[in-house]
Amino acid sequence: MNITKFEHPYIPNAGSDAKEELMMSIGKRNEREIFDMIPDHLLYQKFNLPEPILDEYTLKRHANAILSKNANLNTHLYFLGAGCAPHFIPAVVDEVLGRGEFYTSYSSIMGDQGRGQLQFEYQSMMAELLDMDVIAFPQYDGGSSVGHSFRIACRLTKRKKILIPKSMSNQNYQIAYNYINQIDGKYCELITVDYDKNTGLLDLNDLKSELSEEIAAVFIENPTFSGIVELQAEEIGKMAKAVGAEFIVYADPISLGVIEAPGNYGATIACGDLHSLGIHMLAGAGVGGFVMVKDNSKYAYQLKDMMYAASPTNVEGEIAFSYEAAFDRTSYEIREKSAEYTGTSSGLWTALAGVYLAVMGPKGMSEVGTIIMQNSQYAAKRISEIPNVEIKFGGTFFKEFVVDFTKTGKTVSEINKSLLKKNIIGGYELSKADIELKDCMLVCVTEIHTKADIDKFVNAVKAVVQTGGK
Amino acid sequence: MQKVKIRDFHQARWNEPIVMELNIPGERGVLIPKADKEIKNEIGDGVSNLKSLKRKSELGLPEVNQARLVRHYIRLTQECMGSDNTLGISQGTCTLKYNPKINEFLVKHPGLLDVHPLQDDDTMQGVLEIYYKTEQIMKELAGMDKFSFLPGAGGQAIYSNAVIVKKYQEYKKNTHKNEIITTLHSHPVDAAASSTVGYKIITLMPNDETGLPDWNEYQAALSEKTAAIFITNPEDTGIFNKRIDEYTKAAHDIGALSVYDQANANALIGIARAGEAGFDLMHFNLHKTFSSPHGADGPGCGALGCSDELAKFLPKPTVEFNGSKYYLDYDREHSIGYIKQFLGNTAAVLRAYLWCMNLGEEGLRQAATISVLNNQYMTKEILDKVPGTSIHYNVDAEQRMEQTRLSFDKLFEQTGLGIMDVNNRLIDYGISELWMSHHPFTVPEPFTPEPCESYNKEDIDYYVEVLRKIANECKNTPDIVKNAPHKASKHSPVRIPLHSTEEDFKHLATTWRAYIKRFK
Repeated sequence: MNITKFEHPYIPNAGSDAKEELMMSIGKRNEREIFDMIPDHLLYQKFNLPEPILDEYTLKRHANAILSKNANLNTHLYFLGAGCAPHFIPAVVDEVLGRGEFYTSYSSIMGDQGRGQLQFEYQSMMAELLDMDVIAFPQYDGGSSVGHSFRIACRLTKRKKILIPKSMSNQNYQIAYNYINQIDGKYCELITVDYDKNTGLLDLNDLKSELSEEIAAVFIENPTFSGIVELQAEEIGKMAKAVGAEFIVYADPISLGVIEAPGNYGATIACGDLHSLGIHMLAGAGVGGFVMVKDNSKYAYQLKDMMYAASPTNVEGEIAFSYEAAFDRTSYEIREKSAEYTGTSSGLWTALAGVYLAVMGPKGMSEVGTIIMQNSQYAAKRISEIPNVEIKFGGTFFKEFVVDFTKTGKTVSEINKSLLKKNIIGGYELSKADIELKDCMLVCVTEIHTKADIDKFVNAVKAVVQTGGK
Repeated sequence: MQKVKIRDFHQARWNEPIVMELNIPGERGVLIPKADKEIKNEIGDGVSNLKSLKRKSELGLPEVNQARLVRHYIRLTQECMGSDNTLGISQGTCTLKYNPKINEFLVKHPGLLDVHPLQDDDTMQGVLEIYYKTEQIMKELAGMDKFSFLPGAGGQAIYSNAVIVKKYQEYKKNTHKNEIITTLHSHPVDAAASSTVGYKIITLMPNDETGLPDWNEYQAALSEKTAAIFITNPEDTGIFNKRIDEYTKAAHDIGALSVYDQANANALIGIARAGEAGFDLMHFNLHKTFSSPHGADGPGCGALGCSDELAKFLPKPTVEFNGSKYYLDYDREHSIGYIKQFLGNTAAVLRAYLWCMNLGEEGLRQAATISVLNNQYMTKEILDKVPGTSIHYNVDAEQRMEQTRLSFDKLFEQTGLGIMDVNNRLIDYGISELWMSHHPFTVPEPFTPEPCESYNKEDIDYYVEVLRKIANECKNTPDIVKNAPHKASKHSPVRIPLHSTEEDFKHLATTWRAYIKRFK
């Protein structure tokens, strides 16, 4: 036999005598015979691929050179948020992230009891954080958690209209909008409710005029995409319930050490993105969605994803875990008969969010919420002192706030370009968000910023807006 | 052949309390920065303006010192069976291959880890370059014309493909097309994600002899109403459909699209392509075939490929190159819109790039070749050496691809013990449970191992010997098997509710607060 050998650390049988041994044992004389099942005309041989970099050291040099082109937290000062933000991540979280036994695991129930416990602990601490009771596996991101929540609300109420704030994150809106669109029409209709242009809060009069017994749910973000804390949340929830609608709250979990838990002001469905709970930005890969409901079977069985549950064993005091709880809901078992599909999503991030919450503890969560509020208010105050620069919306905000540059005659894009020259990544350009805010920047300030960082940013902004016109 | 010696194994068993039980008030896991004194003086506590929405009660999170937490987590991770510490052969269809350490090292480069997805394209040319170059490689490997790396895993890629089918058929004014055809041995999510988009699903049942859909039934299922076919090949059974190009052509002939679920493409990379088989849309799971770890259930990436004709429908944004600069293109008139936040799973794309660059054409072809060779060898070894096993769909039984649907039917007939019992016992040998089959089962007592290219002959022989030993135990010492696992971290949970009933809800505890309520 003429066997080509290919020595590579990831394909042991390709380089050793085993290849020939295996082929002889199953009676294959050449590699073509291994693929006997594929007819000639379906085979392909003319691949045009780049030359490989076979050794690990050169590969590392190659990748380092590419990745080093990217501005990052080590090279630049960031004030950019809009759904992803720089936060402090305790080293213990990264230690668990690096545990190979864990991150290479997948679907073993009895072999991965440690993973089961990690996920159960995450679920348990999320219940405390949000004051909700039942949670399933995560969704892909905050946007898909919104879409899932919308569908749950429609099934629960058998109604087809959902009220959403006009100020909603455009990205999440687009993802959810896509998710409720079906070939035979929409799963439900999304109706926007205006927001107060002075405060950024939901316009309760407009809400009232839209509310009726046709409404499946009222959805709010708290804080809103623009950072505004929706102080009327409890009232909004009451208004929703008065017409028999669900009250869906999209929360930023890192705010919940200082802001009231959605479950404690009337949310019947809570959802959001895990990103702020100890997940690196990873150019957008550090996201994962959650949906939680109260301890009520009608709600719980609407969750589409697998669920890790805890159970006693036959050994006194022992607790074990399985993700097959109420498995007959899922599309793994009932295929197209399930209300929505499920599949692999963001399990690594949920476990790490759990680690983050345990490391932070109640005091850490309260303190991180506090410093974010203090730092962001300080930054807003300093920025508002720049002539012609205004803080939009007078309300209370968390982590992010809107800066209006209209009177400076400068566009956000121009300002950000100038900031970049000083190695500062400025805030999000709100004209992209489709929420009627032109020449406005969404500035994000977190616990990672020092007073010196903020002052540097404010001075840089000041310098830009005070030089020249458009 | 050398006799295989089975190791004496016991998994770590720490009996760690639930982390909430470690609570000791006054202990801290970490200290975090406090606002600068001057900021505090100027702003105050910063939270009084939350008014009635200020959190009133203290969070029910545990207070635990850092060393204790680290012990807790290291112990829990020791109670896992990943492909790093055990043989990942059990989890067929999932491709638990080796996840290279250099990839994990590079994913933590600050030029990826600490990059914000919305920063200006000019400041993340490296990320976009990786996307663009990986796309060129994927196009070549799939025979497709354009790729999107936005879908967060295989399910979302299939969902996105169903949305593209919808958009395409609307574009063609074929609004009467409201059916999608799939096969029972394709992944259930092909049916479920398509039905989430509103399609009526027609499922082709496998032929008893071949395991493949019956051509005549397929012909009969195709109609004016067919919007697309969603099909896996090889299917979950490891059986390759040789007539696949006839299937795709028949779909095209009636104006339907052909969509390929290539979540697991491990047998075909560098061998055969979706393009030659006539597919319009497909996806690769980067967390299977292209070496990203499964991460204990994601995040993954469903790399979505399509033909030129469908490129305009891809989700936003796409990554483009104008000859000197990479950029994100949001301005796409016919796009299906947004399906995932930001850029998708950048880490999985980087790993896929590194995997392909490190192996090259010959290496990729060898990975596929060895994954099939390993499986054909292992299938024969199991059928020869493990008592009570059989293979259904006997036509060309020796021609399975990267995985094989096998059966412990005879073992069950002889001993009353089947795959569930074998699975519990496997843990005692340091091996995770065998993947059985997607639902509904078409083979009794099914199991589906996948000995991909990462495993050498010794690993496979070891695995087969463990199966042989357990099958013998089922005959000779059934009680040991029935009460397994004995050497796992935990004993089996006894009150996990399997059904969505009111009665079962009384013991559904997905959180500690519910557990206390239900069981304490």
